Amino acid sequence: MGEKTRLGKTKLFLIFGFPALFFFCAVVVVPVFYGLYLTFTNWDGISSTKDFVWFDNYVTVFQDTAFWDSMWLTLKYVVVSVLLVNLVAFVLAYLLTSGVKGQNFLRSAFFTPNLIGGIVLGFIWQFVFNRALTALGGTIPFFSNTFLGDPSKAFWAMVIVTVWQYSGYMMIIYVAGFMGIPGDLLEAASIDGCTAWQTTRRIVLPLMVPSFVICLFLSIQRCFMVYDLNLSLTDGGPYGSTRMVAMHVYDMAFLSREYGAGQAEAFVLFLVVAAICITQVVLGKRKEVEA
Amino acid sequence: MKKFVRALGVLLAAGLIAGSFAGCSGGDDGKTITLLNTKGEIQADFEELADRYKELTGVTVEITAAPAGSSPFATISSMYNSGNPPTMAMLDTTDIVALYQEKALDLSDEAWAKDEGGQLYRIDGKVYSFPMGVEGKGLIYNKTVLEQTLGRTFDPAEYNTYDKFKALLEELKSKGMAAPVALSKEDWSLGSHVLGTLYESQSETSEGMEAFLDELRAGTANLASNNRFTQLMDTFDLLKENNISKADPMAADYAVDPSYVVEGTVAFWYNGNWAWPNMAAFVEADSTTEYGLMPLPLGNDADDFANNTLIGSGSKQIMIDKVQATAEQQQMAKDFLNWLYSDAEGQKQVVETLNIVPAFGNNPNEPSDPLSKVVKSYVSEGNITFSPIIPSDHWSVLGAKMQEYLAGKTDRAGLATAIEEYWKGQS
Repeated sequence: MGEKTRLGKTKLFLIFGFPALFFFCAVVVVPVFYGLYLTFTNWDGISSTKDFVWFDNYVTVFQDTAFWDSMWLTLKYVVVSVLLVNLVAFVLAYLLTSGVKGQNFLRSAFFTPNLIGGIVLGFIWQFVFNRALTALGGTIPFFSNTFLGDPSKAFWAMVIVTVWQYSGYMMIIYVAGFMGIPGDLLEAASIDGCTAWQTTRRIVLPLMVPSFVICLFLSIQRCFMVYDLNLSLTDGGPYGSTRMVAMHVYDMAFLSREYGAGQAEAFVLFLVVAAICITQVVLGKRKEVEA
Repeated sequence: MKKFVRALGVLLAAGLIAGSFAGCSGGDDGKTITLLNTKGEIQADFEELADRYKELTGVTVEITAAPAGSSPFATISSMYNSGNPPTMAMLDTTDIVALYQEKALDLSDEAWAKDEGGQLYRIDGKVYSFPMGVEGKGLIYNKTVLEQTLGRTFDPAEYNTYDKFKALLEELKSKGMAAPVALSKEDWSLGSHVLGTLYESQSETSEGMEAFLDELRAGTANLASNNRFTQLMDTFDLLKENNISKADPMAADYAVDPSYVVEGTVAFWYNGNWAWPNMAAFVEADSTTEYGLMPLPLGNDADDFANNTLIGSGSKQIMIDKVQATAEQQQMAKDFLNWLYSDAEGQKQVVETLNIVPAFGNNPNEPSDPLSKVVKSYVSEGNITFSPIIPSDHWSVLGAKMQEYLAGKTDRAGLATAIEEYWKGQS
């Protein structure tokens, strides 16, 4: 095939690029624009007629205090979870690259929770919080009432399970980051008389920035979109106090049957998450250094 | 060779696309219809019934289960939006009201739709859905443990006022039952069933209930001064006070609650006859324990209709799709519903396999479980009232408020305000 001619290039692109492009359009681009269109209609989710209502749905979004309450709650959840997930993951990765006995086994063990789906995970932990921990209540009064029955403890229950679920995954990325640090650099540092702290601060951390960028991005995005865990662990309860924003959007669209307004809320959520993630990635990239 | 590869590529691509379309149509011999089942607890039973129907008629009825935890409306919406709706959909009455104009076949000419003894839901005088059965809610009781504890026979009709019921609970406690009531914390139970009683007990007629709902929508109803609200909350407080999970009511576990009443740890569990499968899981094979269902006592007037009728909770309805289903499929669906209605075998299957209290008087079969038996006896005496249509998110929004009240995070006035606010937002 003639790779040099314009036609040849197009052909090559079509062969290798088109399938991916087609599916990307079909499952991402088209739904986004169709979804955007739906935010301007009063569709109820199933009717075959939809009327154009311009910005009515966005007005609804800004007046829907429950939406902003869950947005705020989600923000708190994201901040706490992202910090803890990455802290735990980093520490685990640090320990598991320092040559402890059985580190390969431990790596897989910490990664395992990530292989269990959020729904199943939620039910498992529901059992842990409701039965296993309360059974300890006799000896440790702190556990006598289930975490899931109290609004602030239920919030922390969500955080605990999230950390448990994601830190193993992030740990793998950090492990890769640690292993990617050239040994000669570390050796040179030790010859030059760096202390352990100086090596970590001046050499390891700067070279780990790409891992931080990707882990933060993944954890921020996943925590913002949390739904499955929310549904199966607390179901938004007790009394609606742990209803994260994705659940609110779903309920708005399908339970209250205001699909247009729900879609508009989803779009606002998308803008917020996109803004935060892009800022984080751009700022993070600036800190990256070449070895 | 090159040509061959290219041709193969085209063929493969075409095959993939064609395959993905063909994949949707399913049915091999054209004698297949589908039914969306939104009562998860009878999925296996329904499949058994469908197998029997296939043996008899050769028509396959595929029973699709709605995903656990999602609302029937969300499920049917996504099925319609993906262009793959079921021939028949079992939904809540409120969903039928939302859908009938565009999606549901008018079934007014069916024989069962003309049955005067049937519990039909009419919209503008027309019938769009087949009622699955009658369901009743109230206090489930363990008669055997009540009689053992009290040392005398127990007749629920003797405890049809708040004071008498309260005295009974006190007596049970003094005779050694630590907590006589199990109260589930589920939002659908509290929001839809407990709070639903507020609307259903306002009046004996559906016009009276609607009038009350109109007042709520208009914002003119004052719950603080509403007699029924006070009575309902008094009784609810009583349940709350005697709840086995009183120390941490939000930790009550729906998987465990039925075991309390089955094993006699408590005497009462607030629920409905649909909860029998949950209870049956704990009943031992040779058990002789007797169970029953009684109305929730409200106020102190023994002649009050609310204390003598059982409240029928909105039963599921089956509609037939008119958008995608072919005329032939629609006919097969109609035949299936007719089989459930009038065929001796179909009638038997409804009662014995699905364990449902039939919605039609022509069904001679006696339900086998004790709770459905009670419901059936109330139905045959005409002592059953039906709930009005309440908005689809009511159970979730106000269920959360009821949970707050149950956990002591809000008081009666706060709950009343929340209910009034919710209704004002409804058009």
